[in-house]
This record gives sequence, structure tokens and C-alpha cells, in this order.
Amino acid sequence: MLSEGTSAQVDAARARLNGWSSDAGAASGGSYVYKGRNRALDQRTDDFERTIWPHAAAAYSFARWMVRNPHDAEDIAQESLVKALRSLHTRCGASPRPWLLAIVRNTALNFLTRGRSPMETEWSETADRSPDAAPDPERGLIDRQNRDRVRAAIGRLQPEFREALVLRELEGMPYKEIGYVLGIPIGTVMSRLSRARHLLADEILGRAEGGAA
Amino acid sequence: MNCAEAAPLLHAHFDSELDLVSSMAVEGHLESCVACAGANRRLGLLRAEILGAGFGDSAEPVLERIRAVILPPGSEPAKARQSWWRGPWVLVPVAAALLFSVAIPRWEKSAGRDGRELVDSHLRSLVGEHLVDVPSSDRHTVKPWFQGKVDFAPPVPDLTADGFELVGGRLDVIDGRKTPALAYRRRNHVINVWIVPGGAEAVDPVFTELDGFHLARWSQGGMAWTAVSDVNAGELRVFVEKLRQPTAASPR
Repeated sequence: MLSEGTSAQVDAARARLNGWSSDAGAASGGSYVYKGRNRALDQRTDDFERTIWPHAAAAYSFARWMVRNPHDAEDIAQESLVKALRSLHTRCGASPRPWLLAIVRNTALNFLTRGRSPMETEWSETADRSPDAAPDPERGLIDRQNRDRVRAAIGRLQPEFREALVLRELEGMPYKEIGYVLGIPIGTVMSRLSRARHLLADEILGRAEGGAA
Repeated sequence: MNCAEAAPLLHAHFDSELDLVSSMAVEGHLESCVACAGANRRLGLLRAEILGAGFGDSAEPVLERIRAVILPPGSEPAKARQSWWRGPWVLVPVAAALLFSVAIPRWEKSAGRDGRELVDSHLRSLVGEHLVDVPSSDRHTVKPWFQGKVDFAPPVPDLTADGFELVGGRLDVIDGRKTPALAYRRRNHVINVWIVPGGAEAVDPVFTELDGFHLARWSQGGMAWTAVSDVNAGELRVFVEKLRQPTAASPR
């Protein structure tokens, strides 16, 4: 049986053979470092898979509402998850979902300011082209028309209202977490949410009598 | 509390963000004020509309693609080893195998895997009114409902075309753990399905019987599935087969 030290040396030698030694050397040199780094990598992947990956669907969905085009949303979700994996150590006790969605939001905003597919463009026509035939064609059609109508109305909201609304209604986030994701105080979360709901309700439910809601 | 005081709190009350005292004050006002009660109802209607407004396509293929890019294939046995797996990397599948050998028996032991707890849960869902917490045949309503209630996104397959109508979703506590349950209906029979993360390795369905109920357990897509029903064994097999088809979870 190999002693701990010997097995570390074997690993280091194997690593050098495979061209990894320069990496290890850059970190701070020596065989022990390489082994530690590898273990840390596994540990980080484990952590990521356990804490962050369960929210990957939320990341994609949020990106979807921010950029509308499914392909861009996929790119943003992927880029965000890669960033999350790399910077897992910076999470420091923040809840995983808001932490991840804050990354998604930054990634999406960067993407949007690069000038492609601005948020104000109409929803991509292909967004809902996936095979979507309901078993009952008539009901399916009505459902779908209604869904399209509501989605389009959400899409017409200004981005700052839309993101607050999506995080609250579709992600079910508490105000505090929404504030974290958007980087705004809770009072601002409340006013944006209230404004977003007024606008949307007027559009899809019709104007309320007496201007309530 | 009057309208002027209640109005700024309506949204926070609706979102369950108020403390107990304020919440009760708002509720008291809602009972007596038609206008504010109407506004409150409107918030509910709006939420229902928004929850139904999904994109109509499934995120699962997207997530699979992303996963394949960023997570090592060792955590997903279906993927073949890739050429960059050299040197120390070969230790990863070993670690994964060790993990499975520890994790799978644990998973099987937990979550009421002897079936008793699930059959009891099935029975509980049939007596009284608590078959579903979110009654809807629309997977785009049921799926988002679980968000924020459990820390993963359970797949909600639509099997209407195959004669299994989705009745809705519900939250059960199995083995002390919040577990999403889906209820399907086949004629007058109810089929309950529980989904928990675990069993990263795909496992073919195992069918058993307990007290006249048929149970099926399998694992796919990183989720451990269990179905319990009083439909006959053949129909449960068909149900499970349909459920396991990749198209089941994609939009219809």
C-alpha cells in the first residue's frame, strides 16, 4: 500500500506527464498543490451540482423573460452557470437561487448592451413554435391564444417592471430576494411590482372599476 | 384600518410579506370593504393568468445541453467518456461510482421506499379533499407552482393524449421531506406520482404490489420516480412507459 506522500508523488508525476504541471506550478508549485487543487475541483463541482444546478431551470426561465429569444436565453443561462461554477467561492452564504439569478441578470444586461436583440424588440416569432399541439385542438388553440396574449403583455412591460414581476410571480421569490437579484431596496421592489401589476392587469383583465388593484 | 391604510399593503399582503398583526388588519379590512376585496381578487386573477403564460416549450433539452457542457460526464452515466479524460481525471468516475454505491442504497432506503408510506400517502390523497393543492390539467400551471416549495424543478409530463389526465399537483411529506406529487386520472382511478432528486443512474421500472395497490419505481433524468395506483398492473405499466418517453415531458 502506498503511503500518503508516495501516492501524492505518483499523482504529481502523472499530472506532469499529462501536461498539468504548469498549471500546478502556476498555482504555487509542487506536487502537493496539484493534488489539493484536483480535490478542490471535485469538491467545487459537487457543491455546484448540489446547490446551484437545481436552479438551472430558473436561470434559463429568467433569461428567457429577459431576452425573449430562446437561443440567446440558452447562451445566457449557460454563460451564467459557468460563471457560477467558477465563482462559487464568492457566494458567501447568499441563497443559491437569488445568487444565481443575479448572475443571470448581469449576464443578460451585458448581452443586451452589446447591442444584439435589445429588450424592446418584439418577442421572437419563433419563440413558441415548438410542437405544441394540444390533444383537444379547440381548447388548445384558445389556451394558446390566451397564453400568447398574456406573454406578449408581459413582454411589453418595461424591463425594470418585467423583471420584478417575473421574479415574484413566476419564480415565487420573496421581496428580499428580488431586491438582492435586482440590487434595489425592498421599497423599490414593492413599488415596481405594484406598478407592473397595475399595468398588466389593466391590459389583460381590463381596467378595474374605481381604479383599484 | 381604512382603505387609505390598506391600499399600500394589499400587494405585500397578497405576497405573504406582512407580519402577523398587519396581515390580520388587512384581512379584517378585506372582509368589510368591497373595493379592496375586489382589488385583492384581481391580484389572484392576474397571478393565475401569468402562471399560465409559460413559453410552451420545455427547458429540459436546454438544461441537458448546458449540463453536458459544464458538468463532468461522470455525474451522468449516459454520456460517453470524452477524450480529454486523461491522467488524474480517470479518478472521477471511480469517485462517482463510490458515490453511487453509497447514494443509491440511501436513496432506496429513504423516501418511504418500502412502499408502505407511499401507499398510505396515496390513500390519504383519496380520502377527504386533498388530492391536489394546485388543480390543473395544464402542466404549465402545475410545474411553476412547485417553484419555491421544493428546491428542485420536478418534471410534469402531459399524458392527456395517452388517456391519463393530469389532475394537478400537491406537496406531500414523505420521510420528513417535502415531496412533489402529481395526480393523474385514468377513468375513475387515480394514479399518484412522486418525484425526488436522486438515483443519478437510470434504473428501469420495478413493479411491486402492496395491499392490492400497484407500485412502480424507476429512475431517470436524475430523478427517482414512484407511481402508486389501484389501476391494474397492465395499465400502470402503460402509464409508466408513457411517462418515461422523452416526449412526455416536452410540450404538447
